[in-house]
Amino acid sequence: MASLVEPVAAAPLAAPAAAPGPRLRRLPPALLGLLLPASLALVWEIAAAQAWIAPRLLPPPSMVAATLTELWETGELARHVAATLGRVAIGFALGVVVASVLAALTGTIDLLRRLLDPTIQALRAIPSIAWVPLFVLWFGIFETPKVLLIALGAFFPVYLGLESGIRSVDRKLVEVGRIYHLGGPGILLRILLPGALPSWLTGIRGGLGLAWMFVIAAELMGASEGLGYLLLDGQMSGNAAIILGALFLFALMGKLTDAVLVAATRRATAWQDSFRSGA
Amino acid sequence: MLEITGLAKRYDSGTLALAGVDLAISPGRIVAVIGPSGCGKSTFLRLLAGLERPSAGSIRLDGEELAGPSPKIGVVFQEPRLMPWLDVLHNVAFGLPRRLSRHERRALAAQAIERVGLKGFEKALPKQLSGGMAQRCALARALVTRPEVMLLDEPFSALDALLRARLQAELVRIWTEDRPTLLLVTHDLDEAVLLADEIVVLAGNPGTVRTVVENPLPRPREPQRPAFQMLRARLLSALPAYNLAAA
Ligand SMILES: Nc1ncnc2c1ncn2[C@@H]1O[C@H](COP(=O)(O)OP(=O)(O)OP(=O)(O)O)[C@@H](O)[C@H]1O
Ligand SMILES: [Mg+2]
Repeated sequence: MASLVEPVAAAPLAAPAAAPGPRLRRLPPALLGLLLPASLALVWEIAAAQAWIAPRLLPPPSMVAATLTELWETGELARHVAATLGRVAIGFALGVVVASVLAALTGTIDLLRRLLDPTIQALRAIPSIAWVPLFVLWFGIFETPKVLLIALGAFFPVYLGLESGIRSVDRKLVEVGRIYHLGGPGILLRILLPGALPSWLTGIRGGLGLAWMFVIAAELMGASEGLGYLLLDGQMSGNAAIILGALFLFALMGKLTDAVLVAATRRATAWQDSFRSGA
Repeated sequence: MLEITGLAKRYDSGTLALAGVDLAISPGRIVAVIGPSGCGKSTFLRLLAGLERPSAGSIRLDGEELAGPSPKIGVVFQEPRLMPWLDVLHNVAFGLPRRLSRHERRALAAQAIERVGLKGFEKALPKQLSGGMAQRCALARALVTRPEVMLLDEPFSALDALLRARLQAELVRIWTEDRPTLLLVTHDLDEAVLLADEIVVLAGNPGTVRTVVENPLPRPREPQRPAFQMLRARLLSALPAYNLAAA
């Protein structure tokens, strides 16, 4: 990217006449990504001020912000955010760990794969939301079914990512491990898992996305706190600002946790020799 | 001493790749294996490496029957087969036993890297290496454990002529230093005459030893010498496939 930017910045004659394209490109990528939402918010704010839309149905950003600030000052907001984040963290971690252990086993032990994989693939065909009634029946309506539902959502992408990653590791590299007398665990730890890492991390990222999706489903099935509760509360009280505020927080936290994950994975997969791996 | 008796391999597919190979190789010799494509050269090497189980016969190293990969045997494949996620140093250290300390492993790997002329590239990833550098790294990985026997399956065949000549010279230099037994599969007759003390000619379908040719030429060998060319011509006439083509 740097090579695209520098010539324009360095050429003094080109600077005054710079077209909007290059000038936009000069902005840091993070700011560039904010451009669209910020302009939309502005138009929306103006539309509300001109009374083109009914504020009761679509309150302007300023009103949403005010509602959120109010909730923050009473300490309510922090409680809801913490509850949701906590559920996502526990459920996601549980799903990732169980899926990774299972995929490592089915990926390396052929017998286990033939034994378990068909079942896991069949279970995957059930939309995870369809488990909700059963989970409620088994575990009640408190924390357990919520966390388990989130874990289930995160499970499948992680399992598939690691399992297919292990299976696509080059057989020739595994032979190198055999030459050096690595046993099953040695080959798993030193060849299969590192080789499967990119696919595994893609799965983990997908799992995180689903964890956020499922936390809403879980909280909508009845909760006394959390962003999902906030959504329901807004619906009951007919307060669109609360609903929009909760949606905004979901977007913000989903994006932030994903960005953290991507940043953490970039270093781990720097060895890949793929198209635009450096981008 | 590497003793191979009655070694045969039939693959599950039914192909009889090797039918009764007998061969005795004294320590410290360079032996080249040549033969037409598909005659079982790679199969032979994979059996010695312990990557395939023999259907019949035995392989003994220093009187001990080999069953599976042995720490006394190092392998260099046709492709470098480096772990793409490890840098050169860690790729070379890959085969060192874990009972050695981190420090010892590092020192040994650094030494092997220097021997193949890759000093300065310890931190490079495989994707940053040229084909020749990657193959040198693979050579260093095989060398670092100081194996008694090194198996090389067409190790330089993917490289251009100039680079091949350089790596051949490096291989000979390394061999003069610690004298491992080298068993080298090649389809390049010049390479066989240049490097080997003894050249095993295989015939295919099924793979058997057709003849073993001693190479009396003193080192360093020069391909333009008449004696070199004569030996090469003798090998050429011993190769069944080339005979057919000439007829
Ligand atoms: N894994 C395998 N399963 C079944 N048959 C095999 C297998 N590997 C090799 N063969 C067969 O065994 C025979 C010998 O193959 P091999 O690879 O040892 O030949 P090669 O002499 O190394 O040939 P090249 O010079 O082309 O590398 C061939 O007929 C081949 O088709
Ligand atoms: Mg071969």
